[in-house]
This record gives sequence, C-alpha cells and structure tokens, in this order.
Amino acid sequence: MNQIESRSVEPPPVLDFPVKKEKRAVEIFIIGIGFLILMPLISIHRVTDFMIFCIFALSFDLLYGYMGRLSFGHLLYLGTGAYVFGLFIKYFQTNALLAILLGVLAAGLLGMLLGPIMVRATGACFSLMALAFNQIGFFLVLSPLKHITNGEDGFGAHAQSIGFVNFSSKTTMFILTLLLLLLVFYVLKQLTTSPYGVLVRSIKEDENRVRFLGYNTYFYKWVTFVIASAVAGLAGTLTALNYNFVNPNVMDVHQNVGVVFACLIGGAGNLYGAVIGGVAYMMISNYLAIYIHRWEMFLGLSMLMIVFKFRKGIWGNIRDIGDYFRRPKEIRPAAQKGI
Amino acid sequence: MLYTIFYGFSIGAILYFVSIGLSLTFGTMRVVNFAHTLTYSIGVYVLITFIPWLQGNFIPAAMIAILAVVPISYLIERFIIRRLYGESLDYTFIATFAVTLIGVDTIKMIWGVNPLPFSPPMSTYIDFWGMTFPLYRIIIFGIAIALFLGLELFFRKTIVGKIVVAALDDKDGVRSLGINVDKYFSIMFMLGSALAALGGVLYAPISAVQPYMGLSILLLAFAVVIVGGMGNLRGTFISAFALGMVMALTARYWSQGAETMVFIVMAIVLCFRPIDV
Amino acid sequence: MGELIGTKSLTKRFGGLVAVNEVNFQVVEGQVAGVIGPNGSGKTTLFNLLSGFFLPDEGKVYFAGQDITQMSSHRRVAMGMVRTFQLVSVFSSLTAWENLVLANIRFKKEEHSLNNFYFRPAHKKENLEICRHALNEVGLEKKAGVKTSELSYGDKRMLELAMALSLRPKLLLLDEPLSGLSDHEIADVIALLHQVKKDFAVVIIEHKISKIVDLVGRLSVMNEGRVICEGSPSEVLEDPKVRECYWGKEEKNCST
Repeated sequence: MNQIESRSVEPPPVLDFPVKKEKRAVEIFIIGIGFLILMPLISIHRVTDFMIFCIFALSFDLLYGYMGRLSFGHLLYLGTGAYVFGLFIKYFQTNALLAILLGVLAAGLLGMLLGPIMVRATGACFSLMALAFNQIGFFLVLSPLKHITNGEDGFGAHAQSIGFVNFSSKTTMFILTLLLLLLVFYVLKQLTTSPYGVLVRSIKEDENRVRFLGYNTYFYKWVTFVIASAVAGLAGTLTALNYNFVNPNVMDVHQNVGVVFACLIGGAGNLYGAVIGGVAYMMISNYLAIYIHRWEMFLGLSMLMIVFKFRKGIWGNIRDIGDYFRRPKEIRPAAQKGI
Repeated sequence: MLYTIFYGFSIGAILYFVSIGLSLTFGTMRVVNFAHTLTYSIGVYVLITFIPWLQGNFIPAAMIAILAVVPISYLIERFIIRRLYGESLDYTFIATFAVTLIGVDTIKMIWGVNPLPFSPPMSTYIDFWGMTFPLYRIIIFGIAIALFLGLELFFRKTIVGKIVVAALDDKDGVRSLGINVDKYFSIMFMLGSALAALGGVLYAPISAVQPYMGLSILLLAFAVVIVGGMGNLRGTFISAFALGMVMALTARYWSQGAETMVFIVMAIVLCFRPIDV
Repeated sequence: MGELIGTKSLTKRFGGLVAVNEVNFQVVEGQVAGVIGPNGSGKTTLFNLLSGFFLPDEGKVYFAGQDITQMSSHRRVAMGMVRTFQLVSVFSSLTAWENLVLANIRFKKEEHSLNNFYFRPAHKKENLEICRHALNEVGLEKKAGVKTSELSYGDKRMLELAMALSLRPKLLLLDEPLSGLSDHEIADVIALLHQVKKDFAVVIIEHKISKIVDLVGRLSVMNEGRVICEGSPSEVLEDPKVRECYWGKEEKNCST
C-alpha cells in the first residue's frame, strides 16, 4: 500500500533492473570478423553471395520476425532492385553507386505503393497477396517488358570503375558487400531496439491493443513494409552488380522458400538469426547439394523438424542457453533439484 | 471464340476438382494446406506407370491412381495436418510447404526429372455447329458437373455430409453432440486429395507432366479458393469456372499471361475482401 | 462541469440481437460512474462503441464537444479516451517496462522527433526513468525487468492500469478491472482508483458491485441493451427494476 500512496511524494528511484545492454560495436565487429574468416575457407565470390543473401534475410526478418507477416513473395523487391539497377546501367549511365541508389529507391517505392494494400491483410491473405504480386512481377519482366528486359535470357550490366574502385574485382565486391551488410545490420538493429521497434513487436502480438494506445497501426506497418522492401532492393542491386547480369530468376517465386528457411533455422525476430540462418541456408544449398543428392528433401524434412521441434532456431536456442547460465545460481531449477 | 469458351470450361473443370479439397481442408480444419496438390502430381505419375501394364486402358489405370493416392493422403493428414490444428498460419504454411518439397523430391527420385510424354486416351472429335471439339474435354466438363451435383446431394442428403456442413459452421457444437468430428474431417481431407488426383489424372493428357506440376496448379487452386471463398463449395464451383474462363480468354489474346491474369484477379479480390485466417 | 462524453440513441446490432438499444449515456468531467448489469446486457458493447472498437448502427457519440461517432479508435485515445479490457490486455512478449514505453513516450515532445523514435534505443535512461516512475505508481517497479508473461494476473492488471494512466486520460473506461483478482489485489486497485479519480473522469463496468459502491458517484444499470436505471448507488440498488433484472420478480407470499 505504501508504494501506491507514494505516487506523488517520492522521487523516482534510481534504476537498477537488468536491461540487456547491447554493445553495437562489438556485434558488428564479430559479424565482420566472421565473414572475413569465412572468406579464405570458401571462395571470396561465394562469401559475397552469402552476404548478399544475408542482407535479404535481414529485410525478411524485419517483416516476419518483428512484424509477424510471412511474405511468400518478398523476392519481388529484390528483383525490382536488380532490374532497376541493371536497366539503369544498361540504358543510362554506368555509375554503379547511382544505380544502387536508384534500385533501392525503386524497391522502396514499390513497397510504398503496394504497402497500403498489403498491410491491411493478415495471415494467409498477406502471404498469398505477396505471392500474387511476386508472380505478376515475374511475368512482367518475362513477357510484356521483353523488349526492355530481354525476357528469359536476361541481360548483362557492367558497371564501370569509379576512380580506383573497380567493381569487377572480387575483392572490391567483397568489401563493398561486407560494409553494406554491416551498415544494414546496424541500421536495423537501431530500428528494432528503438521505441518504433517496441511498437512493431507490439503490433505483432496484439495490433488492436496498440491502436488503443493511440497509435495508427496501419501507418507503422506501412513504414515497416517500405523499409523491408528497400533493403530487399539493396540486396537485389548487389546481386546484379556481383554477377553483372540480370534475368528473371531474381524474381522467381519458388526461391522465396530459401529466405523463409533461413529465418526459421536461424531464429526469427532478432536479426542475428537472419544472418546465421542466411549463412546456413547458403551453405546447405551450395554445398549440401554436392554431397546429398536429394538436398531438397533434406530441406523439407529439416523444415518440418524445425516447425515441430525446434521453433526458436539456432540463435533462439543459443540465447536460451545463455539466459539459463546467466540467472543467479539459486534459481536455476536443476541446481535446486540436485542438491 | 467458341473454342475459347469451351477451353475455359474444361480448364475450369480441372481447377474445380483440384480446388475442392483445398477449400474443404481450410473450411473444416482451418489449415491452409500447401501440400494439397502433391496428390495431384502423384496421381498422374502413378497413372503413367500403370497404363502400360493395363494395356493402355485409361479408366482402370485412373482408378488405381486415385486409389493409390488415398493412403498417402491419410499419412499426410495423420502425421502433419493433424498436428497443425490451431497453429499460427506461418507454421502451417511452412510445414505443408516442406511436405511439398519432400514429395517433389520423391517424385524426382522415383520417376526422374524430365517431363514424361503422355497422350490423351481418346482423340475423337465431335462435330458441332460446324466446328470440331475434342470429346475428351467435353467429358471432363461432364464429370465436373456430375461431381458438383453429386457433392451437393452428398452434403445435403447423407448424414456424413450434413455433419460436415454443420461442423463447417460450428465445430464445437457438433462435437458436443458426441460426434467425432475429427474423423469426418480426415475423411473429407482424403476425399479432397482423391479429387485432386482425379483432376490430375484427367488433365495429364492435355498438359505437361513434370515433377513441379503440382506447384504450378497449386497457386491457381489457391486463387480459386480465395476468389470463391474458403470453405464455400458452391463458391469454389463458380470461381473455378470463372477463373478458367479468365485463363482461356487471356490465353487467346496474350498467350503467356493466362496464369498471371488469375493472380491479378486474386489480388484484386483480396484487396476488397480480405480473408480472415 | 461540462459534459465530457455523451451518446444519443446509440444502437448496435449483431445479426438479430440488439446489443445496445438506443442508449443515452453521459458522463461529466470529474465524475466517477459505474455501469452494472447482468451478463449480456451490453455493457462491454457500450464501451466498445464509446472507444471506437465498433462503429454504431445508429446514434451518435460526443466527446469533449466533438462528434466522434466515426472517428477511429487511435484518434480517440489521442483525444484523451483511454480504456482497459475485460481480459487483461498487456503484451506478454515484452517486459513490464517495455509495455510502458509506448504509453509514456506519446507525451514527451522530444520523443516525437523522428530520430528519437526510430533510432535511439528505447531503453535509454530517460525512458527508463519515466517507465520506472509509472511502475512505481502501481507498485510494480521491482518487477520492471520481468517478462510480462511471467507476471501474475493481478500484476498484469496493475500493469494495464499503469499503461492507462500513462496515457494521461481525460476519461478512463475500465472494463471489469477487478475480475480475476484476489481480495488483496482488489484492495490495491480500489486504493489506486481512489487516488486517481480526482484527476479525470472514470467509468467502471463491474460485477463486484459491493467493491465499487464507495468509489462511484453515480451508478447506471443496463439490461438487454438499455439503461434501465441511473442514480446514486444507494438509490439504484434499492430500485425494484434493478432487483428484478438480477434476481427475478419478487414473490409476494414467499416463505423464505
């Protein structure tokens, strides 16, 4: 009772409850080192691929892990970024950085346009609408816009060097991609630990309740969607830059399963999982296919196992173990039992 | 033009066969079954395997194919679908999609990756108003109508049908009458899968047979069910034919755009009538 | 003391059922009103209509002089109408103090800057201080870092009240705030309400009538979608119509 009466009398006490202080610099450092270590083990070109996929997975995680919307057509935005990048290089200027910027803006713009329709949907409606739009996009670059996009065969897009930065060099691509990945990670981490991040997570749990706290949830869902689209577009531009080539496969609906798997296996909703899962999926699809002939079956079986047994993914389980050891010894249940 | 409409009807019929199961599974179990068209493709492959054994007799081979699919659908229902009751959508999607992946790979393992050739069991044409129509497609359409009427009768007149219709409305209410609703839902699931196999078997002669055929028709089936209303069988009937017509008409003027047009229609419908899952 | 919120012939139907039937309901500033009635009488639906969860089929809702009948719910909150829910409605996946972040930053001018909202961590010092203070008001500051799913129901209810108070309401709509609480917890909630009622108007739906009798200045009784009686608690509880809707018609020659 005393605590309640002290409402307007006592000064607010100094806080001392545990809040996980995340050291952003350390995290980024670890991720950077991780990829640098990977580089000599696997070819530098492959690791660049991995990193691009991780960027895509991060954008997907924002939408799925944080906002709770499973999109079966997120590749649409990656593809948009890739195509806008490629088309700009091919028909306008060969300035890669400008092309990247335009690719990202285009993907974000598409997200802005489709967003209002998409975010009003939930669950299956959202997933299938995303799929439908992805399919439509795929078809558009395949057929009606054939004279621009060269349809099925795709087209080459060679970016010219800017100063001493030579985009054909694998090392340059690696460094560029790594820097962008770290940048994306940093930005998304800031976003998801900010009040906006709390808002998005709340919307995932109970959107109605958030409205009754006075927030226009449609707006914030739309913002999230636009950000996710733009980052996916970035991944798309890098894909095009990395291969100097763009074809409709960048928008292939069936490839969406890869990023879903990545976020599942890594653990959705914390960004680390997206990176871990991204690497894991890339390893599996690139290398497992060599050793296990039926790798798609393996993929399917492991997805089933994850759904039924292993929902939190790699990162989620690591964190659980970490939490367990971080609790004071007295309340560890095993310790209590085994005295 | 008449041909177009005619083709529209036959496509619509196939879509109808395939979509019924999807609509039922959703209406009864509230599970969006991404693995639904697996039985469609498996049915086709079994059919192709058995036809040479039966000296090219289509109908017995078709029946074997459909029957072969039943135990598979039982396994899927028993071990996967049943565990997904009440789960959030992402997990049902992912789990059933995983089943599809496994299934497709199994098909590739048994039958290989390459498309298999298969010709229609009958190449008779009927002359009508000075134009020739393949009899085969007319029969497909006829079967669809018969099926629709049959299902209507089934759901209205038989006890099992009435239980299912009631359970679609209020599952717990029916359960509290002491009826094992889950058992009937399983039966409906198997029926839906068998019908999908029927669709596959009938469509195989006039389409390409390859391991991923299930996926391409799956998306179309989803579109049908969404436009017609999940769990609404009459709606499924109408939307199947409507979308079949859309496909035929689009194909006439713009050959590759047929499937995409269906998705555009679906997207538009979803904008105005979001489904609640 | 002007009218804060009022409805005119408010009606809401669900299929054939008329849940709220031409209700005229007013609350003036600073008033504490109670709404009681049997289950299904339309109390929560009334709240839902007031707060914008549903839109009415007929009638109007006025708040602070404005016609808000068609206004979306989040804008009503911005105007000062805050509600709680029958089933305690907090965010289980967040920690206790995180629940308060959203409620508390609405009113901090600097938080409205895009940078602070999107980029600065939610757990920076100032935010933590404010949330700590808000939790202190309801006696939960020791549990600030606890994940909400691990709190007891009573604590969750207090957390929900802390969220509501942080939103600086002009009108607080409480839907069965005492349900599911132990006697001790009920006492805490009542004490809190006694304290805050000076700051704004409160409308409470409750079944535990005896607990709120001292708190409310006016009691309205709903039955089958209509307000059948309104007045001071003592008047209302003696009214035969009210007794009838709870306990049935009085038998004259009953030998109980």
